[in-house]
Amino acid sequence: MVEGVGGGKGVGGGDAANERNTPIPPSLCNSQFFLTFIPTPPMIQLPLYRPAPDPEEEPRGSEIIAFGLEYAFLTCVLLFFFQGMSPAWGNLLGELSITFLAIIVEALPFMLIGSLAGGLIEVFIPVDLVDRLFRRRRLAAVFLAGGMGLFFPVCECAIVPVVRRLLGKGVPFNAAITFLLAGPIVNGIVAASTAIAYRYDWNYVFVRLGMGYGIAVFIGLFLGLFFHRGNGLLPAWKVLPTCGCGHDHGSAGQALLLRLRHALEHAGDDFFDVGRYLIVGAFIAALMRSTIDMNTFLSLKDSPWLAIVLMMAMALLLNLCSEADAFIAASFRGLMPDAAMMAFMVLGPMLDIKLILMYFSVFRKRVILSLIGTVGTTVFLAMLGLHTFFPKLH
Amino acid sequence: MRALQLMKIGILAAWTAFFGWLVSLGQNQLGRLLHPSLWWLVGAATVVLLLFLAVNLRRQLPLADQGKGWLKWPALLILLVPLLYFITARNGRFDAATLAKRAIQTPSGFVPQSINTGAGDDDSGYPPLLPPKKTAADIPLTRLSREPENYEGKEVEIVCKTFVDQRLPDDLFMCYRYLITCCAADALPVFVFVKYPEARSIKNDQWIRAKGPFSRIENASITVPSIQTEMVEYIPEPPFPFIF
Repeated sequence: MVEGVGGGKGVGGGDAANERNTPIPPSLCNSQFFLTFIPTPPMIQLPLYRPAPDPEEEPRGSEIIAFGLEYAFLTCVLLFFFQGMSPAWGNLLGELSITFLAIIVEALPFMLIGSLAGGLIEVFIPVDLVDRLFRRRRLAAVFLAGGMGLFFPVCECAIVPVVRRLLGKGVPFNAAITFLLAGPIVNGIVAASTAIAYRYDWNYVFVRLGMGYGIAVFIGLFLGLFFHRGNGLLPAWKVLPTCGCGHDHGSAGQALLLRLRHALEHAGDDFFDVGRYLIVGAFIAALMRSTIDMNTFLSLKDSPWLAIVLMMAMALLLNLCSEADAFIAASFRGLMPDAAMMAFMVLGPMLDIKLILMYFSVFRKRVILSLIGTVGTTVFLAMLGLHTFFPKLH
Repeated sequence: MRALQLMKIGILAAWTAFFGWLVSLGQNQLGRLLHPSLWWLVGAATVVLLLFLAVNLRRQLPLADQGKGWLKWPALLILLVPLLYFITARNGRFDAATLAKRAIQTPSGFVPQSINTGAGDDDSGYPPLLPPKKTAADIPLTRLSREPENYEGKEVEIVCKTFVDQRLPDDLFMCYRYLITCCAADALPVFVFVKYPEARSIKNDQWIRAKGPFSRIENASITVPSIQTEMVEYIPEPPFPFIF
């Protein structure tokens, strides 16, 4: 009888029936556990298996940092709220509250709809089907991956787990990078939100999706020259991962209602995982909107490259959801060059602080550094070109 | 772990109730946040949240959430921050200080961003105007600013908020409202000048109704819309302070 695995959880015990009924922690699914542990007859004495520290028991450094940042944010928000009750701060708090709530009330429904779509995809679209499309023609796969967001409408927060799964299934590195960058831009929900934010001025929609596609394909092909699965991915993603959610997604025979329920559960989890990024981003955006004088931007209007750099920096810092960022960009309409607003809408879904942190869960550091440099440079040059040849999009 | 699951259910219930209330009984509050053409989004979100709530009520805590509950609490509490700030949003207003930040100023004064200064040369970046509504409380301030030639010399009535600036002549004050394109985050001030003999006696940030002939005046080489009036009436805030 094995004494227990992963801190005495009982997984891998000798009782076969009990073993089947015991849920496997998701962390073990992705660890070396399945590579080293082979079920054996119960009578044979096995050496005590001691896997790597279980993140369920001992939080990783990134989780501790995230906890600290979230705690700090909550503290600041509460302090500001109570400080704002004083007459001196009352006006600013009122203005910030309206702006903050307005962004949330507008953006959160899009995030919820996106989560719902993601949950349905998770349960109803077999990854094997996608995999078959990619393996046969590697170069064509990059161009196909750029448009895959049209069928997988996920925002940037949800795309990293999907890409990890695709990489685990053997999708080529360059195609995965392309999908990672293009998916959150080239999709129907983002197109709809951009259209609404710009009052159905379709030029903005087509330019945003077109530039997102073109830049993602270029970067996928370019980085594919230097990196591949062997030197670009973390070791854990070179092997086939197994979902740890406890659902049987592959069974088409499952009752439709049960699968719908699983889809809703996944979607609900996305709301809890991603919603906080949206709220923090919206609060920072509202704070900026309530404190920065628009006349500051007036001087930048005459310096397009500076305006583009500023909006790219804002996209990096604000961490807004790609399904909602168009509304923030549209609020600068008439104040900033169109290319600068487009830089905000194209860069944000590809690169922001939360995304960079999430990339560390899939790629090696050198890939992430290359990604940051390549995406930043390409978006900047593309937007300068846009401003030169098409200064007005409306 | 039970507490974490209850917390999640509580958050979903709070957001469902909030969105449901906004789209039904709280439309006056929703009108301060969101353009009416987008209210359907809030309705759709209410339905999605209801579905999430229904499945979560009958759900075991996901495996991924087990074992490190204390790490999840701040992330979950962040989801309640907007509901806390709604308390202050209800009483908050975009006032003259907001106007000073959101309106573009030059050394010679405010530039009315929404004025169409040249025929057919709309450089404001605004979408086309919605058709005017026929209610008495909905005075077409946007139209006065953007199509001043259509109202030249005609009697008009406006409902707006006052802004008295020391840089203006003694018989002139500004009257403004905020124009929403999508939500209050993108609200930009639209204003007209009011020529009134006792302009200096006007209180700042008050809702008024004024009636008089419309004209355009030149101020520091900028053409601005204005009305001339002999009577200014202080009124309560309209149900929908923004214009769309």
